[in-house]
Amino acid sequence: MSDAVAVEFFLPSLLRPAVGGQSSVTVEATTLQGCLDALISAHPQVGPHLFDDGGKLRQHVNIFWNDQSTRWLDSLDVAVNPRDTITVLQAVSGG
Amino acid sequence: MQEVLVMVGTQKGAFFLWSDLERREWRIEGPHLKGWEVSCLEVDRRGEPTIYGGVGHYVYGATIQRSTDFGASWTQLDARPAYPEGVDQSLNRIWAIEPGRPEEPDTLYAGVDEAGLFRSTDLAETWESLDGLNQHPTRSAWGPGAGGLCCHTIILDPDDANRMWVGISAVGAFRSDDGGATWQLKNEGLEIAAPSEEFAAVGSCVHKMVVDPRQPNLLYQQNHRGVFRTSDGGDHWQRIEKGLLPSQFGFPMVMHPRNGRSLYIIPQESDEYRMAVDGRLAVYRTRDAGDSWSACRSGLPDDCFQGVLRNAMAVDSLDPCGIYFGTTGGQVYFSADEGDSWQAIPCQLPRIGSVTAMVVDRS
Repeated sequence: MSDAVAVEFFLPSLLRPAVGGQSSVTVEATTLQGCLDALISAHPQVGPHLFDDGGKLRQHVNIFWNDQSTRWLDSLDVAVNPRDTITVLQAVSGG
Repeated sequence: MQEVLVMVGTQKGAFFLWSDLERREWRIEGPHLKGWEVSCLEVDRRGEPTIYGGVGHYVYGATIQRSTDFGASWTQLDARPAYPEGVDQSLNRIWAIEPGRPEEPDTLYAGVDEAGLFRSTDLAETWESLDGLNQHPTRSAWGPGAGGLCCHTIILDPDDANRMWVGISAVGAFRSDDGGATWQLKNEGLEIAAPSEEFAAVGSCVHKMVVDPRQPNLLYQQNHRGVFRTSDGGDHWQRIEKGLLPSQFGFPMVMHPRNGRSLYIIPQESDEYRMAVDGRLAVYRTRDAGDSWSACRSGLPDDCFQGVLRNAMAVDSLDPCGIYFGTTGGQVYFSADEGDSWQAIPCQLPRIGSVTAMVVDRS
């Protein structure tokens, strides 16, 4: 198994209070799923804003791993690399 | 020094409006929780004043926020009044937060969309689903109104620790006589606006409900189909506005703090329009438990095409009492003389969903 690497999360301003007021958070993990787990483990208040009660990514939340939406991936169990970034974005849903 | 605090929850945050007791000048603080929809704000005064906010966003979901310094700082609570795993119901919005009785100082109740009632016995550290209501035998017949499937009103009987009521839009009024374990639908005498094939009694659209704390069998409700009163704790409801109001339709209802026969409502033009009737914004007042009503609109505009939502009206505890309401257009009005005259507070806020008023001593 590969070593954990540091990956930086970027968060929209509305969610920053849930991570202590920071605009970005660095976590260490080996996989994309591990990064999400690490973010929520360190900042549990952000979890309900990203995932619904059934654990699914909220309909209007997008999470981009570098330039790929996690919705395009078959699995989040993919290895992350040093200097990867994960960006949480509010979906553009109109107006 | 005593001040009046009017907490206004809007679609884009909370605004705290402060004034002297004469309400000559207003100071506006906010937005607190900027960008978040604040659907309800409640203060728990059983100990040091603690404000709880039902906060949400259509993208990021609903949580409860707490402030112990009158809004200067807020803490998002880890626990949410969410349905247990495996239940096909979701937490969409927090409509009501109600502190428990004085003798149960750690108890809070929360009313939510999808319609349900939750109880915390540790000041919101954890929540339990009150399944006697949330999985009620009629649940399959519950459907949402325009505001969603919302449990928006929670009333505790001040005399009977086992009795409480809730109001659920497009479903009806419910009463529990065993501390929230089981619930009975109490729609007899109400019109059914959202009929169900399965359960004929389901489907009365309660918009707001209040109780006379000195006489807890006396309750009133502004319903989608009129204004109603019960003198037997909800067993039978009686229409009390027939022909006396410009419209049966409206959302908010508040009670005078010392007179359970004195109520205030804001009739609005039908469910198709949901705004002041003919643009003439008016509060209607009864002082005889709904037997007669009078328009109180001195100072209110003749060209207002806005509505007032169910949580957006409040009274304070002063004598004479102050009355406050906020509109869907973001305007706040107040009366310092029990409704005889009204003034606008100089502000233009986002769409207002809730108004809460209190007297605060910060000396």
